[in-house]
Amino acid sequence: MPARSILTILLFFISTNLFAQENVKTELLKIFQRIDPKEAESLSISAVKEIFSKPDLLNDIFSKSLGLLEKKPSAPYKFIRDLNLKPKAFQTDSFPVSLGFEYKYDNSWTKNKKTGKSLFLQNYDLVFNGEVAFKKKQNPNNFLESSFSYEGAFMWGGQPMKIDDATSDKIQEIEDSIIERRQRKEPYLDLYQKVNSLITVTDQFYLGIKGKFAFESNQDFTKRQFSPGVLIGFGAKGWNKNEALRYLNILDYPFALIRLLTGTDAAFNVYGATFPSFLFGIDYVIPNKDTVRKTLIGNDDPFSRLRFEVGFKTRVARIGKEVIHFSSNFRWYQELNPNNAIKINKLDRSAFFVASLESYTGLFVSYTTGKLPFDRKNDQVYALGFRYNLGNMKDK
Amino acid sequence: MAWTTKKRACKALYFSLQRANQYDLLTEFDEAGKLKMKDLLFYNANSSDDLRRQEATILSFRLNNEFVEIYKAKFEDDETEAGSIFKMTELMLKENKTVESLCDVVDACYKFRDEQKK
Repeated sequence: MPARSILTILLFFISTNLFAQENVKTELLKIFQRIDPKEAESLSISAVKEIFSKPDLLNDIFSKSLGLLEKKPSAPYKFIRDLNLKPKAFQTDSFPVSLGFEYKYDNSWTKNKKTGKSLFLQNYDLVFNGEVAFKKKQNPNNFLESSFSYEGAFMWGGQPMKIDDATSDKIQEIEDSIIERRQRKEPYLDLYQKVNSLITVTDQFYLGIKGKFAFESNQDFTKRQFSPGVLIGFGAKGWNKNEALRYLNILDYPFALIRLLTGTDAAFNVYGATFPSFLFGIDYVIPNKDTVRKTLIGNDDPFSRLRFEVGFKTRVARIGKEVIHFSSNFRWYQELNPNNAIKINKLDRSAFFVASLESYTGLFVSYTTGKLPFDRKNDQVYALGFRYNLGNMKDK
Repeated sequence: MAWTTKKRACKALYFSLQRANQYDLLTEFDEAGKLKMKDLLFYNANSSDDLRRQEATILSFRLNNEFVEIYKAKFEDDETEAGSIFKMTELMLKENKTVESLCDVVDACYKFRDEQKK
């Protein structure tokens, strides 16, 4: 299979170049036939050789090919556009440099079904990624992953009450006035009240299921494994001020009080937007070089694990231009039918909690307790610092 | 596309995010465009990717509903409701993308009234 994949990829690169050469040759042939029909063929071949020996021209042709991919895609281009190939040199300690490539194909399909005020959103995601060295022994990252995930989310609510075109125009006019007044530093809160009286958004609920089926292997498929997992998510947002849901957001009560006391909010206002979200799932875990498990139970066989997670984020206060947010997350993992040795060493269960206060400018205070499955002991960590984004690591 | 009060897509996004309490009423239009996803209430940097995706999907669904119902926006040619929600969600998962970048996605997916009249 690797040989076949390599051949396909090389053919792709070569065919792009050959295609360009053929085009140029055909055009030149037309011209030379008019000048000297007998010598046209040989003249065009030598001209093509001359032209294609110049890297600048090749670069130009390649950039035009890439330009084609940027345009409205036809079906084959659409497929190629989602495929990323990167030639790569592999260097491991004792071996000489080896050539190869990195590939990544990521494509998603979405589908929905809207019935009344609910939406069933489906997303299929197909991912292939890995690194292939032409000499497989010299591949330090000998790992290919092919995965298919399905996500079905049923959402209902979060729906503004029906309004007619005239009301829509009126809302947009008032909003334009708000922006104008804000720019002129004039009072504008009365206009917000006018807009709010015209718009009511219903409470929103989310119920999702996600299944991931991953096939992992080394580059010659002599080692392979299948790792499935299923997640169920639940979320709710109390958008409607007249409904009780937002008042069930008990986690926000202390912060509503802080917001009131700091003058951030004019009244005791529990946010419906910050209702926590939950995840519950089962993972099939394949330990990778887990020496502790191997020492304790003599093998590193796969096992199933339950997982629960809840996340919460809210606004604490606004001080001048600075807005401070509180965000927290709790995760709990429980191995199913663990071996006694795993149980005695308390490796079958782990819980982790993190909470932090962070400002817009990056100043933060955080507290972490507990452990994630790969941690060996419970830790309590306090941190105070300043986050500055130097790059765009998570930007793309 | 710039973050400008001349575009209905930008204004609709500014007010819809404000109504969804992602930033407060004191946030000016110009400031809002520069805010990053991590500065909005839905983005919890401490959560797992799965939970963040869930929060982003919930918010993009609400935004879609506001654009269609309140602003009477139509979908651009070749765009669907599911595709638009998905594209907004994908951008929202990138912590350093700005509201202005989100507006580019919104503008590419929806045709607001100012564009429909052309």
